[in-house]
Amino acid sequence: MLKGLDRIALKMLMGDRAKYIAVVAGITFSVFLVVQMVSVFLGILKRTTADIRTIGAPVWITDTALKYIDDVQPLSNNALSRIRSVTGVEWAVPLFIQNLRARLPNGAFQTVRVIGLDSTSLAGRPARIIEGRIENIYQANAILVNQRGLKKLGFLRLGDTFELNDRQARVVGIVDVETSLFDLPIVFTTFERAIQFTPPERKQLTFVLVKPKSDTSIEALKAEVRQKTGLLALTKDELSWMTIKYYLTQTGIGMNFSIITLLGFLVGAAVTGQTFHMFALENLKQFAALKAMGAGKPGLIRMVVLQSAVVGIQGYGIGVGIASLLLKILTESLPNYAAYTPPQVLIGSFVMTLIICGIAAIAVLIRILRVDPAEVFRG
Amino acid sequence: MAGTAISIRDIIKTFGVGEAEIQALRGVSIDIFFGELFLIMGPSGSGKTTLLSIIGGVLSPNGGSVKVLNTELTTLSDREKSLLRASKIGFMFQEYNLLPNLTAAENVAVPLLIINEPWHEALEKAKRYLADVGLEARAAHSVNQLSTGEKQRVAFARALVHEPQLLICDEPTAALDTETGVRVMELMRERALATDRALVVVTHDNRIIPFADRIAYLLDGRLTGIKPGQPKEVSP
Repeated sequence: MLKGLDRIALKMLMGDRAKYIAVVAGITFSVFLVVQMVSVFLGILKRTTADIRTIGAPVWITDTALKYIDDVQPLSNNALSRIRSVTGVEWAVPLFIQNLRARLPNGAFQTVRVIGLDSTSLAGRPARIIEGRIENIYQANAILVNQRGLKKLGFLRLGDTFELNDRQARVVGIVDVETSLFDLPIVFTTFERAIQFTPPERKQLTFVLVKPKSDTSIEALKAEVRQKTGLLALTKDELSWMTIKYYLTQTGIGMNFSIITLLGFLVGAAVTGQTFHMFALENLKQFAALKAMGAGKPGLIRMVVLQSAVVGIQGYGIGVGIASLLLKILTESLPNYAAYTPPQVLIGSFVMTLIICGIAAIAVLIRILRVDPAEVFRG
Repeated sequence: MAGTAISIRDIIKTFGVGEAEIQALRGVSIDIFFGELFLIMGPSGSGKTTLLSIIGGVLSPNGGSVKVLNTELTTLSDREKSLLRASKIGFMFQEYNLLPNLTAAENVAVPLLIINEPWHEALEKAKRYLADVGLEARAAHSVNQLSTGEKQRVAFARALVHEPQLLICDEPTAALDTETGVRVMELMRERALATDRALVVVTHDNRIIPFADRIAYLLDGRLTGIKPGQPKEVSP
């Protein structure tokens, strides 16, 4: 419930239009920049783990040297049978993932990501088939390609062919999968055919996908896999976090985005703090008069906190609104634009707004509470 | 006289320290009574504004006793002094210090809002006080749209709206021409002076001497004398 002095505070704040707009704009800019940058940053990080979600297996078994999903560490071909012998495993299937070079009908080359699925179960197959049927994968030289990838492969259609390592690959299905970091065309085929597409190597198994038995704890399964095979078992989430951690710490992505986000925060805080402070300085005489007339510290604190809260909420709302609108427009109009805005981003930017407004309010309050009410008699 | 509103004894006030120390008041003692308009006069630097600030409870003396409305101010905390000012003292500042983004009525309502009177009641009361000073039609105007004389009357209504027992005025006619200044002083005697209220006015404007009941003269921080005034009768 607004008290009388609260209304006075709001009128003092909004009466000086230019400064009021400047303070709100400062917070808006800061919130917009932070939401935008963090969303893009999270969008990029999310794309690093797109293949994990596309394949969707609950447990992934790989070499202990693995650093992230794309850091393929070939396993010996007998790893599969050893894993199947682990007591907590309900089923275990091979998976092949490797980037290969495709030669297109027009003679151009394009790197593609080949995912070889277990030919019996097709575990890890894409959830959404746009054209064709998954069973077509068993046809000779058959592959399924993601819709976005087809454009990069020269707008191929069902039945069209191109070369993978001098072998013909024929498009028998079009699938829809989550866009990955480098947005390479994704080619799904059977494990055996994927190996045929690949230059000969001694080890050709890249992951083993596992479903644990329902009565087996993940921790027990991981320990048993480690003990019996010397390999590393990771849940889907663990592999995702391992990949994200790699990109955060071993590439410049984390550092660069953090710097830009921090700059956004600092610029917004500086503009807001400075303008709010100037507003307070210009109203110092009025606050001194209020003190002289008997307004106590709690009342003055309440006035400044209210002013700060109002500009904070408005700046936050407008900033989030503009950022969300822009993110929506860009995501819909630019397929390569990566952005992901979970609720935590909005909560975080709200906390940031509270910090900016809190710092500004404290700086202003220090001036106001120190002002001598006798100032008003000094002319 | 109806009783003592203000009793100050041996007030000393210094500013600064060491060689920069300035003695603004050097042992001033005055009694001011309810029902009188008391003028404090003196040249610039004589200490009259300092004395007014001490009487108003916005400045503390270095020594002496300040009894205002039966309350010894030197023993009060800041919070207690704020409460006393809010409830019992009205202020008219030399530069008016009206809040520029508020209407005339809202400015007048400020003392009521400080003592937590609800907004609408405060505004209604403020409008009545504006009407008393002839500014009913200007109640909804921003104070930026008012003339100096009108601002002065808004400040006057603001000082009275919470019906204080003590009205403190700092150079109320300094920025006004003679005619307007006389009107303000007439208004002050007519509307503000009451048997249960004291008016203390600091000025160096000789034009308002005829409106005072008594006049204290300060020079270099010392009281040089208190003389009776010749208050003009103001017809209601």
